[in-house]
Amino acid sequence: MSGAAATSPSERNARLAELLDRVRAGESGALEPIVRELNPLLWHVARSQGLSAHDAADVVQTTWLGLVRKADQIHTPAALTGWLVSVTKREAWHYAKRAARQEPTEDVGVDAVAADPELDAGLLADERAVSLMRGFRQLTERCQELLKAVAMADRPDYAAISEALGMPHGSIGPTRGRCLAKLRALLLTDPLWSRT
Amino acid sequence: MSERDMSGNEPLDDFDAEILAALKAAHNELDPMPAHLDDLVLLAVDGSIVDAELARLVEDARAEARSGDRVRTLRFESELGALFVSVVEVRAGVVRIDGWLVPPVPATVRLRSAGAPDVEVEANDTGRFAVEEVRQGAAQLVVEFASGTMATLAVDL
Repeated sequence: MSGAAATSPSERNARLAELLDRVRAGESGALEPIVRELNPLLWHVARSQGLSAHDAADVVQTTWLGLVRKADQIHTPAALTGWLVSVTKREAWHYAKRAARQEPTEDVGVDAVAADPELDAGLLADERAVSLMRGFRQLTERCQELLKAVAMADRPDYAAISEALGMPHGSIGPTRGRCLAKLRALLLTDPLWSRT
Repeated sequence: MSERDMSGNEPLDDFDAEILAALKAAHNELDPMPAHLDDLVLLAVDGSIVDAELARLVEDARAEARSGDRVRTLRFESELGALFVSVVEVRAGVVRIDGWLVPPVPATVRLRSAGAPDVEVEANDTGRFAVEEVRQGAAQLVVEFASGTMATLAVDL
């Protein structure tokens, strides 16, 4: 599958294990490649909790600082993505609760994620992407949250991400999952996406 | 390919990969991650002091001063205390920062910024300090109190 399988899971885990060892030894700069790889995923996880762009950025930063402090609690490299996703979601939830108690910030309106197919059409140049988003918006909120996160991961890390988001996946390895099966079925009725 | 199978137990195939890649592209276009987020995270984790209290950014306001300068006020809070910082652009790409600590106590304040050496200044006994020339970009303040160390989240100045 396009680029996603460029590194095998075992190669990736070996690389992550080495990075984590260096972080535990106090070399926090070793995190750079993994920060660059996983930041978009964590950012979208935070945004899915309804945070402004500003708060989402703070949450992502807080999550990484938490990793540096708690690197010794992550025993297997395979658990790293899941750990980061669940800490981001929990931290975002705390931020959202705190923000609800305060005055709404100026940028909430501008930042509100477009949830309207008309807005998508104005923002997306590609007709196929507009049609994809039309199908995506028909999914449940939980399915949207999960699929967005899975899509942001470099390698479809379905099982780890769904568990970290509190949606048990119940299988090992990258299987399609109900949410993706639903979206796929919707797209197959669309001439722009159907494959014959 | 059983197109109507909704159990989701089948392995991912090329069409799934294509859908996920298109979803990623669409979300990056609709709601892009701020470009400087990698820099902020890397600055914060690189110098992170494991036992420092994390000071969260609780306010970030911009206003126009009487002089016509645009002033940005940041408020950070931690278990050890609060830190207010006002940021004024002195010329293109360079800002001046004025800070004050609450409660007002003397402390050593270290400014860390991406791609520049750390700058250390002393907060006086009213908790005030200033750094005259700071290059714009990712920056973090680390405050050494007698009672412990507080490190702010990195912010884009």
